Amino acid sequence: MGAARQHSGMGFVATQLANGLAYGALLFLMSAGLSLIFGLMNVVNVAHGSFFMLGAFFALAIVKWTGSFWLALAVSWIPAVAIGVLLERVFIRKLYARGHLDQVLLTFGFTFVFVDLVRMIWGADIRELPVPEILSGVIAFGDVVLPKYRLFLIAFGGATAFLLWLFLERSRVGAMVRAGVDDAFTAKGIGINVPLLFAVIFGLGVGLAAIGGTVAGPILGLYPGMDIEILIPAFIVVVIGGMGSLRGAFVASIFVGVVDTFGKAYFPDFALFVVYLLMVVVLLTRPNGLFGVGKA
Amino acid sequence: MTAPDATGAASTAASAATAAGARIRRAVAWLVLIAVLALLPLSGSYATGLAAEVLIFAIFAMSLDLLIGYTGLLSFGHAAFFGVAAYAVVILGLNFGWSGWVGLLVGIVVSAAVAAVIGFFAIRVSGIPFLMLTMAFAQLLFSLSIKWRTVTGGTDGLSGFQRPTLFGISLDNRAVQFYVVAVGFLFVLLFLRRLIASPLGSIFIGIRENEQRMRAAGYPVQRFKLVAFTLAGALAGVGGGLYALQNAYVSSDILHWSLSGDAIIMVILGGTGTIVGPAIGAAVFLLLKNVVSSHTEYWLLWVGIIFILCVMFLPQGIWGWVRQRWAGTRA
Amino acid sequence: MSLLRLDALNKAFGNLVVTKNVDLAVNEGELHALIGPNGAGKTSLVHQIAGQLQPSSGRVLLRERDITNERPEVRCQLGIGRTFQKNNLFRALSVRENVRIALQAKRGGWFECLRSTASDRALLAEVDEVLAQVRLTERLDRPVASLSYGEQRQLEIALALASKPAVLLLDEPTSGMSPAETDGMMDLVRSLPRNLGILMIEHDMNVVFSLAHTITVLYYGEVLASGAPAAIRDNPQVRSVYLGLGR
Repeated sequence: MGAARQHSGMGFVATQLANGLAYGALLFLMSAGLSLIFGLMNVVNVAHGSFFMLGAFFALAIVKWTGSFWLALAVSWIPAVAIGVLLERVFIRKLYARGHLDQVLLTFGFTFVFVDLVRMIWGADIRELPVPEILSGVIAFGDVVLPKYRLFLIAFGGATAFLLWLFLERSRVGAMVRAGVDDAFTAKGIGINVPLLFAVIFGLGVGLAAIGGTVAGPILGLYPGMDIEILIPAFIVVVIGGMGSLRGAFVASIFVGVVDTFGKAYFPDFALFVVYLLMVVVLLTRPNGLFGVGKA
Repeated sequence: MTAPDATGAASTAASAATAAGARIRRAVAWLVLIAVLALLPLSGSYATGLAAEVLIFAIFAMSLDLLIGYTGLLSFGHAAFFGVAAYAVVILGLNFGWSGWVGLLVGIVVSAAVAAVIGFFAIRVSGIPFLMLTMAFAQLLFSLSIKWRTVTGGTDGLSGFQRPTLFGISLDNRAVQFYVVAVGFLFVLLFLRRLIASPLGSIFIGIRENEQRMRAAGYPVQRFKLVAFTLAGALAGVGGGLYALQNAYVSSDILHWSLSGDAIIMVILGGTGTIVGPAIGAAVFLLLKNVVSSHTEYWLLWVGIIFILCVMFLPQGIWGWVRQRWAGTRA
Repeated sequence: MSLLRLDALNKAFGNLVVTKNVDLAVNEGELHALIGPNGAGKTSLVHQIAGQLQPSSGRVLLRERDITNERPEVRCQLGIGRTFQKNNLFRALSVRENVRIALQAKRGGWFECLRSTASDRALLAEVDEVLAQVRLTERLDRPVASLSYGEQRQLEIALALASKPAVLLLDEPTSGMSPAETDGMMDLVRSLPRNLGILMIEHDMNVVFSLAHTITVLYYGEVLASGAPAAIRDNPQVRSVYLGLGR
């Protein structure tokens, strides 16, 4: 994330804060999906970053064909979700009984496949996803100058969080999800179609990641390694926030996004250090994360 | 995963005969292995170099299996211990003129120490948090190696290391290099065999099989996890030290988490919970990599596909599958 | 001085109270049965004694030594042995290996890494002795998973005995057993060393009244009554709680 290097007090801090929250928004889109999938299905999806990458590259393709970023945002997640649901149906489903180790290994294998497929189709060079006209440029609040796209990301992230909350707390499907998160066995017993629910949740999770990739495109740049670039911080967020906790994902995304950005700004040599250190400290004091429930 | 059972039946004559039969089979296997290794350098410089690389990574993978297959700990930061030892050999050689042999010993000790420190913190958590913590610590070392260019040479690495001599012959000689590595491999193999059959080994197995039961039986499980972690680190250090002697070069790549990922693939491909499995996995993985990358630049894709198929259909790994067939065909 | 004593033990998970102000004592040579309807908190109580669960308040005392904050492995070393309600064994390992590991915990030599476990003849002999004590004498090198349910229950007790406990916690030893197997289990319990203090959770009233010196009735986490079997049998509160099940 490019940081505006004006070390003039307020302006600098405000810019970094905006960058940090924008990064946090991306992390939330990733970690929310990860936490949902883990919380409901007790599945660890190491390939989650791959869907972030796929979403970004599908968006690139759509923008190339139609020139419209908004269209891309609206539909780029569809093929990604399709791939995700296929992955869940054909492969992951068989490993529910086998536990986390095998899920980690399987999805880890898929990261190799996805990254080389992307390399095959789009090449290894860094591609650009242009920022749409309306969102380019800056807005000035007195001395403080903030990039419009960052503000868009923050708003987008917040809106997604709100909609997700609404969906889970207020809708019938959401109630079924929460029942399933609580106790999938009993949920099945009272008539909830758990396999279908699992497919929906997995699709929702990777869909969020794909959308994240699309909106991240303009500021991160697209390249085959971007899956791991976002996956590690996303897992750090999930582990800090507590695996399976959406609230934890929200809080930790903001936390990690801001800390990482300020860390990069003030200690550019030790960028990732700070975030790793943060995770180490949290895990050693609260092994289940900030809001974790400790599902082994 | 089948656990090797140390309490063999020895009371009846029939089982004594099978025990003797098993001993003979084992002895033959060892002889064949030693013979193959002794004759390998005759097959040319390329094959010898490749074989040495396989043996080095076999050591690396076998050490990781002590964690994954025997104590049930999935670590994603094992490259740290491999790399630290390699750096120790090269740095001590370049800066202080210390012989590679001394460097090797120091490297193993340093790896063990680093493992003990990282392990002390990492074993407080388990599952995904453990995976992330081990990866985080390893990545911290990786970042350090890149930043600290003056000492580590950063991404360019350190070259110019002088290999030591063995009985007057320099290790620059490919064949001698190979024999050194081969001896190291046999030593690690022998050590692991004895370890698994020993009281300590049975405790590791017990922890993998049922941690709660081990606690209820009176074992301080956390202490043993730390011991396993440290031992695994020391053994990885053997591999790393030999890597330095073999290549006379080290760069920060050796600490990257992708090396840890490669090791995990080798272990799973070969078969966890078996001593030989990871060595087989290392051979298959490296051979595959060599063959595939000479035909296409998309070898990650193929590694991924094979790995996926292995996880789905061959969870016991290649060696695990072979052993099952073996056990099935005997009376 | 009692061997095992619980002092005002309380355990709550949020609003759910599983153990309420429980006082209980087990003396040397005493077989103390713990009975009560499902959900009364019996297993939770045993978890708190053995260390798998931390009480919210109160103390667990072994020979008047406070072990409330000790980990399970320490409590085992101090003399507490337990079986689990659901068979908790090393399923992939052989019967002999299961017991050997448990015996080794008390023997020491944990860090020996170059000697084969098969070379310790004395230990292996002791393994067979312990197994004989629980009437397991056949197919001892087969994996535990291939044993019948009843045999696995016997092995549970073998593992607990291998720890050379002073206090033995038995969690429903006869659950899931046929009448014949239950009789066998009762014989086994009767044959256990006299100086053990045994706390036994049981649902089978025949077993309870045949074996117990003392009975404590747990109801919704609280002690409803405690005393000699005859007194418990005639206790009106107990009879109403166990309507139809008692004598």
